[in-house]
Amino acid sequence: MSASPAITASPFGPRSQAAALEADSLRVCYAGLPAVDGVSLRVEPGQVAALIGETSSGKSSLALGVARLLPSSAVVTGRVEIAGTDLAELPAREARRRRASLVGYIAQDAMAALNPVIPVGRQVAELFRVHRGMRRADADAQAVGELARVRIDRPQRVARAYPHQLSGGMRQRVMIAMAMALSPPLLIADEPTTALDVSTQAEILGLVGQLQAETGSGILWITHDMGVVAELADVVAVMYAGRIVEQGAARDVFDHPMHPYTQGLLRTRRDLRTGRPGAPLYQIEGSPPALSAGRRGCAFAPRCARRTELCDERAPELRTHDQNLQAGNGPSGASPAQHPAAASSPAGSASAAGPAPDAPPSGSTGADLLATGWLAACHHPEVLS
Amino acid sequence: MTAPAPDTEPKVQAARRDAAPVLGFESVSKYYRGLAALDQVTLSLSRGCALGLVGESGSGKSTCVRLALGLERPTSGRLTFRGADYPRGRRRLRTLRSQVGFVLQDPYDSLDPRMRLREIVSEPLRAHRLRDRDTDRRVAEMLGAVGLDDAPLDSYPARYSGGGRQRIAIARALMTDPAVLICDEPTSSLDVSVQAQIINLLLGAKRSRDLSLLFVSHDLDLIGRVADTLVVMYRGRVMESGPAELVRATPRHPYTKSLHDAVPADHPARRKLITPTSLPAASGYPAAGSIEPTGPDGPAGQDCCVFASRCPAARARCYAERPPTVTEADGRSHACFFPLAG
Repeated sequence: MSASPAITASPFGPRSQAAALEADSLRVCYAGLPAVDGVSLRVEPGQVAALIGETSSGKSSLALGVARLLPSSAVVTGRVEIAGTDLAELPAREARRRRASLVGYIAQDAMAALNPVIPVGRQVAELFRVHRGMRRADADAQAVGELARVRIDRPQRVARAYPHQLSGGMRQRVMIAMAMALSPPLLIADEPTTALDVSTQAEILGLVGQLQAETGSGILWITHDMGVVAELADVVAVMYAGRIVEQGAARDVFDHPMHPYTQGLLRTRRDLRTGRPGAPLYQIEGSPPALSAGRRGCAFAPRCARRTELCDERAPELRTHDQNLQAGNGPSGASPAQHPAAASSPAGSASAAGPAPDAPPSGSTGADLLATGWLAACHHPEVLS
Repeated sequence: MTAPAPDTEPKVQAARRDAAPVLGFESVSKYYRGLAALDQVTLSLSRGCALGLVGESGSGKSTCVRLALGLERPTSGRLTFRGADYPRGRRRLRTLRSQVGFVLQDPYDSLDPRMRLREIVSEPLRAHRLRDRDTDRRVAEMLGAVGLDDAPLDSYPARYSGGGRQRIAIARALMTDPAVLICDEPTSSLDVSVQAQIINLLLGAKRSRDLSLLFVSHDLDLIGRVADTLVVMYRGRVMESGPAELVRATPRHPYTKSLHDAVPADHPARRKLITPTSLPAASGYPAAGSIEPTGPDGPAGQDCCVFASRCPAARARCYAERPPTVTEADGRSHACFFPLAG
């Protein structure tokens, strides 16, 4: 524990033989501007990891970078392994062939992702013909089975339909069927429910939850909606301006967010739900920053109430904050006695007065912490409950 | 703009001052090619109030917006503005439109990228022949009022983020000092952290300008914060309406409840969607079960409850008869034979 570096390479959970996804220091640059600025994350098999972020946070670039689906104008550096395979090491042709069985991709706009002039059943069947070498009749039959698996009624009939004949929810089910058809160890879902009605979203979330339990794939679920995170995620990573600013087990992050941005997002949502009609809503000031190269300090500082000189000088690193946790608020179950009022302010002001980012993490809650990998990138983290 | 004008001004008093609703729909229907997009919808927006229209895609929300903006005429029924019928004819419609501002969903679509801020914001004045020497000053003032104090008048919308553009759209809508502001999903394409800023801006304008809001959204949480009165629509019909707090806290119509239940949880410990029992309903949902999800339900459209095929509480009667709208003592009404216990 005391030897653990400030940035843990595998923040999500204990190491096993092959993670569904292991990304290390991933960077994605467009025209020299970093959209993803050194992100490391790990998704275990059978785990749902939510990546939450806003416009220009880099969440979609991260997803596309992981799947190696970005155009060649994007410069991707860092290492990405999907179930132990690094697609970048393979020749392009081989990588294309392997990708379909390694990672399934569910896009936000199914209408754009599906071919409008081919019946959806054919599109699913094509996967089996190309990657499994099946004959057309067999592949078609298999495709109908896949549509049934995503709980589509009368799959034979739907298989003959064109995308425009289906509702948004149905198209998204077809996308999910295609993504899961080859049983890939990793699924990437890029805001698949954002364009859907709430009730359709609820169906899709329920469906993914069930399929997840059946297949045991790891899922990287990208969203801007904390509600979706609450429903689905085991672990959550909050992205802001190309970096992960906080990550940990979903329950911990919801119970005791440390980073002011995470706290703002959660408070926005809580206030929306419980506030009085007509009363002003809780608002985070400012707006997310545009891409920029060579930013010195913390990207959230201009919007942050806890900003100090240090925040403008040096970007905080993603690391554990045991001293705060020790003061009272452990991850769920870590400490039976929790005194949020006593904990948050002294810890916060102590670190504000004399931040010690290199102080060795201390304490017995460390074991629990490592197990969940609860990290925040903030000079002045404050545990709220 | 954000000055906390006392929102204690009793609505009763406002209502007495101007008894007729600012905007009224009386049994309005709108048919497209024989299909009912709106089916006998009755709404009433009182002065200084916010009326929330909530429902899924295909519920008729956008048709309501188009009718209220005078872009289309109803097939049957009556639309009123301050008690008088909606005018016919271009010129008189133009006068009406200066009284009805709008803020649409996508700020990237609703602003012409080739126009400068000065032209965008003053466009309503030009359309209504209200431009004068003072226009620049008024544009600058209005931009200040929506929180864009330093915005150069000759800048283009491309300079601004989604939130900034929506502020520009709000400034444009308020230029003619309208009585009604129609907001069609004004924040659904914005970032979560920016959404509240825009809503607060709208709420502030409502208070300080005695604006009436017609607020359209599919987000039950959001609309519950903005609207005084909620109208829940499904497939062109009003399922339930009433004071927002009552409708949210104790829905009477099963559809309202299902919308409520579909809102994701606020904490991982309170998950509700991912339970095996929540899924079977999907097979009964037209959206999941048939390939003709939109458009009114089958042949029996007129003579049944349009929600019946999705309703967990539906009985034979729901498929055979159209439920009448029942108004209760507390001011809420619903169209259901078997309403949930309040």
